[in-house]
Amino acid sequence: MTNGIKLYEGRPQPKEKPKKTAAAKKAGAEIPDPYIAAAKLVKAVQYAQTLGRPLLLKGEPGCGKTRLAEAVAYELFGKKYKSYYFEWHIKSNSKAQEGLYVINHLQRLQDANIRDEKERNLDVILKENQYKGQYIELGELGKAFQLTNSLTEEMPPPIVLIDEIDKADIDFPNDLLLELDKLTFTINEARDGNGKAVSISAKKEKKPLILITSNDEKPLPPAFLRRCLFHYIDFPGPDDLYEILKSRKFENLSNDALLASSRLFSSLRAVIEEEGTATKNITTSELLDWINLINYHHRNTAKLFDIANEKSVLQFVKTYSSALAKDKATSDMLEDAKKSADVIRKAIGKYKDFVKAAEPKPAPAA
Amino acid sequence: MNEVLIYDLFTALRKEKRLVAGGTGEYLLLQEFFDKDFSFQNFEELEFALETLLVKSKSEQQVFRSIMREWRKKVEAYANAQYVLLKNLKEPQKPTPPVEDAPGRNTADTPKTNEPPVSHTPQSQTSTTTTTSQSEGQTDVEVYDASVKVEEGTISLSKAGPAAPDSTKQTLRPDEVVAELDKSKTYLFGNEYFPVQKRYLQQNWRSLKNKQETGEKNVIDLDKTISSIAKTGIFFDFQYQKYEQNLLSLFIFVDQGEAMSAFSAFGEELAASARESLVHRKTRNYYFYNLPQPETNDKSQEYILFNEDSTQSYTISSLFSKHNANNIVVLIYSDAGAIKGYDELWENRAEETRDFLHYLLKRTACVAWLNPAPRHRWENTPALDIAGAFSEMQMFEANHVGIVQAINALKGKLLFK
Repeated sequence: MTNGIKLYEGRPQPKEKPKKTAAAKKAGAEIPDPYIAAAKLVKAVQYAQTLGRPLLLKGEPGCGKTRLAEAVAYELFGKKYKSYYFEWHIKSNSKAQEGLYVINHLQRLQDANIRDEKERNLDVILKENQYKGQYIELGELGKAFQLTNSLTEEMPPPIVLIDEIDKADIDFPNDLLLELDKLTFTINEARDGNGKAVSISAKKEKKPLILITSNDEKPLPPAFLRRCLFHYIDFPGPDDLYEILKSRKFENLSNDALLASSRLFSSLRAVIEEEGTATKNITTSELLDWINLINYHHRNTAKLFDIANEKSVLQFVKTYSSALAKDKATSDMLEDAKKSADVIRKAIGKYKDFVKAAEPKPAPAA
Repeated sequence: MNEVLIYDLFTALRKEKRLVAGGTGEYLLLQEFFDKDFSFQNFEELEFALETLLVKSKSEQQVFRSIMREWRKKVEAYANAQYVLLKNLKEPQKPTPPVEDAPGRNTADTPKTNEPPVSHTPQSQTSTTTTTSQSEGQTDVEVYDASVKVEEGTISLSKAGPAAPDSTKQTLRPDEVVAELDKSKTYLFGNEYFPVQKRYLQQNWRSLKNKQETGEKNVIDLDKTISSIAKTGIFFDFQYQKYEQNLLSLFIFVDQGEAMSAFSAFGEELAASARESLVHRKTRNYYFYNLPQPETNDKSQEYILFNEDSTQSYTISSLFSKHNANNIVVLIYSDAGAIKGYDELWENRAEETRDFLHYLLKRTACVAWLNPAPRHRWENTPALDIAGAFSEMQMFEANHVGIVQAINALKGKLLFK
């Protein structure tokens, strides 16, 4: 903890999910899938928490940008993190205002057309500390602002994930600047229970931690970038991939099998990158699909393949290639007899390099 | 952290135009950052922290790291100077025989933990010396022998023990610069090297249109229908409108000269993205070599363009004949000689290009020129001359800002010069 702020430390979640008893469901207890954060990523989150700035995350698709926010929320709030965690998934037609609030104009119009004896109140009303009111619902950012007013002193600020911000129009990030700076916005169309205009403000000391992801498909405006911290999530190496796999439950695979698979996966990834023909390299999501497939088909098999035997490795990779090859170039590479043999040969070379790098270095002579 | 050091870093950031950071906000952020209770085991951790604050993209990382290499020298020089000062204050006359480093004590530090404490790593023990004086009952003082030159690239700023292995740390000669390969861009057959993504082009092409109502009123107008219901309170019937069609005709003229060979793929992308935007379905590229060739016949002067493999030729008048001149817009994609540089034939080429543009501007609504060469390359080439030749035609760099400006120019919205 620093200056009263509970900092994210990157502790992985437990493997076993809680049993879905009625009591657990009622309590809203949930555990997200395990997430292993690299040390630098943990540091970046801590800086964002301490400085009160949004953290912009970029990286290859599948490197874990989106899942980080949930992991942070779980660590800070425990099993009931869902009440303090807000996800805003941006689409190409998203508007900044949608993250603040949305007015249900259609419902209002429908109600206006219904002629009955009862005089209807068609005002947009949002009461204090509510997320939803009459014809209005707060967006994810709006909810997070609202929540800060009901947090106790020892509770950490809520977490907001703005996912794939570069999908939206180029003006979208700039449209959020004022709200992110001032932590307040006014709903011009709405009134509170006393007829006053509604303003939603976040407590300054509980400023939400905002994690923003981008696929780097479009440049973001400099004015927006300058307000954010930035971290590029590098793709994990074989040892980190092994830790990711170990943190999940694969009943039929031993740790040795997981280690061998993660090394082989990293080798294939390095070879695909060197070949330079694929439009997309294999990433963590392909790894997890691959391991799940292997886990399903293998029952208590200690050894999945013999790294010294090219044919054994080739056979193993081809059997489960549907989980790996997500584009035509990679698929062709693994299907073609000559190309695939070449790829496997190179992959085996890299596999051996990984094994060598992982060997403990001999102590220097005294 | 010393104010002068923060200012030095800030000044270096400001000088570097390739970084987004460099404003007053960043200076205040740096001050705020160093006021917080952060502690760093070594300079690399400090560098990572500052990178998180100030760098906004992977491409800026390399630039920032080169700035940090220079700044590191200043930080180390400052730390060395602090130790020398302290040494002179505590023990001005005493010699300093080399003694093995005693861990855990670093009294030369200021009380603030956020100032990088200078210390030793096993790698640099051979090049630095310390003494610890306890015999006279004084407070333990660890002093630093500034006369010994520290090995570049291997010093760390921590007393906490050996520096954590860092794959980015490397020993450099003073004249060496590290240029790491951007591993996100190793796919040779993709379009990652284009100045903008296809989706960006499509979005911008969609904004270039002249929608007019044509034909019978047989398309439901939802807005009018709702408005009618709101006024009368009852739904009688749908309101209809005429079909809206885009009447704007976009033509793209692409230079196939030798200097443009590296940019031909993006030239194709311009027309492809225009078609895929669904607003300019019939747009295609027409090509010329350095400059459209004039052809003078009995009636008038013509200019000739070709298809991609030069198997078919077209006169501009034949291309424009089926379109209203007020709805024709032309985007020219050419370097205008900027890539090749100075040429003896510059003046001739510039004059011929001006003639061609004069011809084109009389027959179109708007013309814009997109140049793949960066603006600073236009000096001393025909490009600069052409860019300023006509007030109604402007030349733009082919980057994400220039493309938007070019499309705005095709809408008739020119930039004020």
